[in-house]
Order: sequence, then structure tokens, then C-alpha cells
Amino acid sequence: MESATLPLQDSLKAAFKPNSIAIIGASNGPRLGGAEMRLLIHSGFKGEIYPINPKESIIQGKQAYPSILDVPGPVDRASIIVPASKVLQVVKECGEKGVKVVQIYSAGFGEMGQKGEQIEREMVEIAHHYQMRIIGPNCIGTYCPSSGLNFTKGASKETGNIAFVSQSGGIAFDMVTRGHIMGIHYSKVISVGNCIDLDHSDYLEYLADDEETEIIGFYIESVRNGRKFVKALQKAASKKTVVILKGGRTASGSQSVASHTGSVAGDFQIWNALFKQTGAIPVTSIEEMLITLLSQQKIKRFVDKKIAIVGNGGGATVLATDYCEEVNIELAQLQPKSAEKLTSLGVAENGRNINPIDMPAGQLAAEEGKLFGEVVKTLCEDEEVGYLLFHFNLIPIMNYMDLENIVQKMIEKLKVVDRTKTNLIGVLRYNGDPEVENIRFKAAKLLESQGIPVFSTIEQGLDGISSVVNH
Amino acid sequence: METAEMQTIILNEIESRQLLEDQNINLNKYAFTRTKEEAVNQARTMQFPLVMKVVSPVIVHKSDFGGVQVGLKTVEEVEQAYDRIYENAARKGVLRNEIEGVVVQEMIEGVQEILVGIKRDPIFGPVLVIGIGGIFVELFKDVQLGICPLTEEDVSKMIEGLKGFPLLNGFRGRKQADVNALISLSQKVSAMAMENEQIVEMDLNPVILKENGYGAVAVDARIVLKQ
Repeated sequence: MESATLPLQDSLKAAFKPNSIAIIGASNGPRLGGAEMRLLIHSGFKGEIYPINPKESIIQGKQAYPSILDVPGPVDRASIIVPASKVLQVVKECGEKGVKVVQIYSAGFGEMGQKGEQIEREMVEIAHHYQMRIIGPNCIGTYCPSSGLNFTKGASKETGNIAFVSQSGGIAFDMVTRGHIMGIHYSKVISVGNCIDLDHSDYLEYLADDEETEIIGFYIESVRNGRKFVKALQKAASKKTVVILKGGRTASGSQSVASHTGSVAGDFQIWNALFKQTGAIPVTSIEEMLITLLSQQKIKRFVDKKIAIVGNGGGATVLATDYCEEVNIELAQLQPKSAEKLTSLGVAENGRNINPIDMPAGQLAAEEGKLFGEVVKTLCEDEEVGYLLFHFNLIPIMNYMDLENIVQKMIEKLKVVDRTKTNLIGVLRYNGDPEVENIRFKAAKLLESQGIPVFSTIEQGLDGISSVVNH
Repeated sequence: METAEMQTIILNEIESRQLLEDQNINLNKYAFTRTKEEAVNQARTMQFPLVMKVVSPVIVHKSDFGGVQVGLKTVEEVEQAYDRIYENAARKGVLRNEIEGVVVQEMIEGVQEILVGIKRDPIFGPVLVIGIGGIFVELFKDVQLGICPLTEEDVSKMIEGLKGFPLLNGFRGRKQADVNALISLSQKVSAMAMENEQIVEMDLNPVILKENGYGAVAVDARIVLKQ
């Protein structure tokens, strides 16, 4: 097989951690080629940047070159942002230059039907001739905070242990920017487009061995070589946590009526079988992906430990109990001494309200959260409890105290918890009021700085715990 | 995504059985007959009770057509069943020359009817399907899928994953079914699909799973081949 001899590790290392980048189609203007370069400079990329554009001599303060062949030094990675009709020629020049990997941002190949497919094949042939690999086409770039690669504003500069590979550029944006707000940190995020050369299996293989990565997220629409993919997924999922969002789950192929088997084995069922067989975690929406990644990153799995819940809202507490059962997580049966302590603190009575615990807003906020702190301490010191979900509905609390101040005080109280024994999971609820939102955001960032994952609803928090406990 | 229509041929029960026999898959004793006399003669060589089934390329769900007659205890019952099959088919508008013949076979009793099947996926290749079988397959859809190749442990997990698994495992005083025999039969079926690229779909439905230690026997089969 030809592909066995093609470089993979070196090519993807060059994609994420290049010493030098050529941006083919860079400009001073507002379009993609200009934005790519600005983001690269702004994100602190330390290697050489070579803008390529025959119409300019200086681009964003750097010497521009008419062709990549004019660049004096070696080039590890090229981002190709030119019209589709010029891509083939540019790929050829990159090969001649000795570029290790190109990411083709340009779109408009698959859509061109047979002619487009022909061009794709030629590009791959040329690239392989030069031992060069192709990412894309039809993608939006690469994000790697440790090397300063970036494709969007609103991305975190902090490195985390999650890698995300996306067949959709839009979803790559969502993961990076929404992830940043939620406190999810990545080792790398890459938009991989049509996968005409490097495909899902290659990215999986690379990330399975990547020291920066413990959790791998995928958005997949289609896979070309199924057997290779199953093998790569088996290997990756045996070493790391792999979470997959599959687009087009219900698109059924030509369903057979000739056999019973054909009628019960549609695409959806086959993908589910794949997840079960490999141990990959399936999710079905962008939200679920974000919640799962955040939880896998922040919540440790403590075998045989159960969950305790405390917060304001009687109805919300009842619903939380129901939801625990629905997502297959168990509420802790507290030890007698914990129950006694809760009774003496005045939150439990006659063996009721022990877990989950409903603490009305006034009680939560009383004495700057002193009672809340004592309850948290009692719950976390109980041997049964490995996960403590605390939820604040901010609006009722606001009626008692200065919200910003009291929430910070309550968060202070969480410091008594021995985090090597108990996970803390926060839920900050509110009504969407922009003023409260600001306070909520600050509180969320404060919690995040202590490594505590924060969710917007109790159900999301429980989903997150469930994803850790049940996988 | 491949959308081109694939040309396929559906093998009848006799042809399907021949392929399965080549793989040492356990099947009940059967004979294909073209006349009532032949059917009676074959019946005399078998152990009663018997089952008779219509063989016709135009009939997919044989039992819906009254094309399956079960529990035949005597030669007279075989003769009557033969006539009934042709009458039922005629009533559904199937012409006499669209019927190739009738299969006579020994009726197998067991703990549970199981579906074992293959579907070749355009991306992942052969997918093994194990389910609670019989005529209610599509109704309950209690099936587990696995992408081939599969280890013994994978197949075992698939079987345990069925909602109806307790039916094989002594539920309410039922006999323990021969799950090991089902695993080994399933492994043979997947190996067959891995080796023979022509196989597009396979149905062994039902496979009669007997009491533990007594094996699993396929009593009906349908194979779809790529032309």
C-alpha cells in the first residue's frame, strides 16, 4: 500500500507545531487570508510567517513573496487560501518547496462534480509524490494554543487536554469559542473538511499517541475507509476518551426489503454498534458534546462513589432527583452521622431533606454563606459522596443580598472540600437578565479558576456527571 | 456516498442452505420436492413432526401467505398440507408456475427462535445482526449489531445485550439455552461474509436455539448476493 510509506506523525506535527508557516493568499484586507494572518500574529505564533501574494510586497508588516518558491527558508506548513481554480498549481509549488503539510481552506471541489473530484485526485497524487500531506479542502484552519495557531477571535490562550477534529468548520468555531466561555481548554482543534488525503483514521492515530491529549472529540459526517476507521478508533478509545458527534445519523442508505436483517440494520444502528464495540462515547448535539467534554476534562471518576445535591429551589430539587434516575446516577445514602449533623445544622428534619438538600435562598445566603459551607463540608466528608452538585438560582438570592458579593463568599466556602476525594460540580441558574449575566459570568470564571465545571441547568450538570460515571 | 443501484440476486432456501452447509453450519434435515409424491416419499425418510414451506422467488414472507405448514404428524397430514400451500398461494394471486416447489423438513423444538443475519454496509463492510427471531423480528426489533470481524467476546456481549436475553438464560423456569452454540454459529456466519464479498445480506431466521449442550439449528435461510 502506498499510504503505508507516507509520513503521518511528521506531517501532523508540522500542522500543529510548525516552525514556519506560509499563508498563500495572505492580504492586508478583511478577507480570510488577511484574517488568518492577523490571528496568527495576534495569538503569539513564534515561528516564521511568510505571506504569499503576487500583488503585495509587504503584508501586515512582513515581507511578502509572489510564490512559495521564492521564500528563502524552509516551510513546514502552508495554509492555502486561494480560489479553487488556482489550488492545484499552488499544491504543486508547495510540494516542490518541500512543505510537509498543506491545509486547503478553499472550497468548491466536491460541488464541481466529476471535474472537482478529478482535481482532488490530482492534488493528492502530486502531494504524495513529494511526501507532502493534505488537510481539507474546505476547512477553516487549526487552533493550537501551545504553538499560537488560531482561527478565530474569542479563543482561549490556555492549553488543555482535549483535541477536537471537525468535519464542519462551523462546529469547529462553536467548540473553540463556546468552549472558551464554558471553561473547556484544548490541546488542538482542527477543521478537516473533505478529508481527500488525511482522514479521520489518520487524525485518530496521531492523537492516540499525542502527549498533549487525553480526550478526543470528533464531529464526523462521513468516513471513507470504514475498516481502517474501526481499527483506528479501537486503538484510540483503548488509550483515551473518545467522544463522537455523528452528523447524518438518520440518513438511511437503500433500505432492503429482501431480508429481516436489512430492515433492522440501518445506518443509525450500525453507528451505535460501532460506538458500543469500540467504547467511544456517542453524543447527539453540539450542547451535549460541550457538556461531555467539559465533564470529561474536569470531573474525576471515583469508583463506587455517589452523588449529593444541594441548592435552592424545592421543585428543582424534586426534578433533579427524577433526572438522576433517568441518566442512571445514584444519590448517596448518607451515613447516620452526616444525617445527624445536617439535622443539628437545621437543614434536615425527621430524616427528611438529607439528600438532595433544598436550601432556600435566604438560608443559602445567611451569614455570608456560613451554613452553606457547613452543609457542603458535611456532605463531602461523607464516605459515600464522590460528586457534589451545588446549584444556585441567582434571582431569588438577589432578593436577600448583593448578588456579586454573596456568590463570591459562597464560592469561598467551597475551599473546605478535599478535591482529591470529592468532585465539585456547579450550576448557576438565572433568567437571562443581562445584568445578572455579568455577575454570573464572573462567578463562573471564579469557579473555573478552581477547576470546578459550571453548567447552566441542573440537568446539564447531571448529564455531565453521568457521562463520567457511566463510561 | 454510493448511490448506484446494485444488481442483486436472492437465493432461495435450497441454494442458501447449500452455501451454509459448505460452512458447516448446522441445519435441520430437509428435502426440496416438486410433486406431492416426492414430498410424501421424502417425508417417510424423516422424523415426524415435519414442516413444509413454499419455495417461490415472488414470496418473501412465506408465513403471511399461508406458505408454511407446521406440526405435520402423519403422511396424510403431509398430503393435505401440500394441497393447502398451493391453494393459499393461489388465493394470494401467485401463479402455479411461480412456485418452484415445496421444502419438507424436520420440525425442531428448542428454547428460543433467534435471528442471525448479515448486512454488508457500504462503509464498514459486513455487519452481524443477532436478535430475538421468528416472525416478530420487525415488530420488536430486539437486535444487536456488530461490525465484523468480531471476537468471541464481542459476540457474547451482543447476545447479553439483547432485551430478550433472559429468555435464553433461564427466565421464569425456562431451560437454559445453548448460548455457546449461538456464538459459534454467529462466528461462522460472520467468517462467511468476510470471505465472500458477494454476500450482501443474509437471514438465518429462525435459528432454533436448543437447551444448553444441544446446539443451535438454522431452519430457514435467505441469502442475497451481488451479481
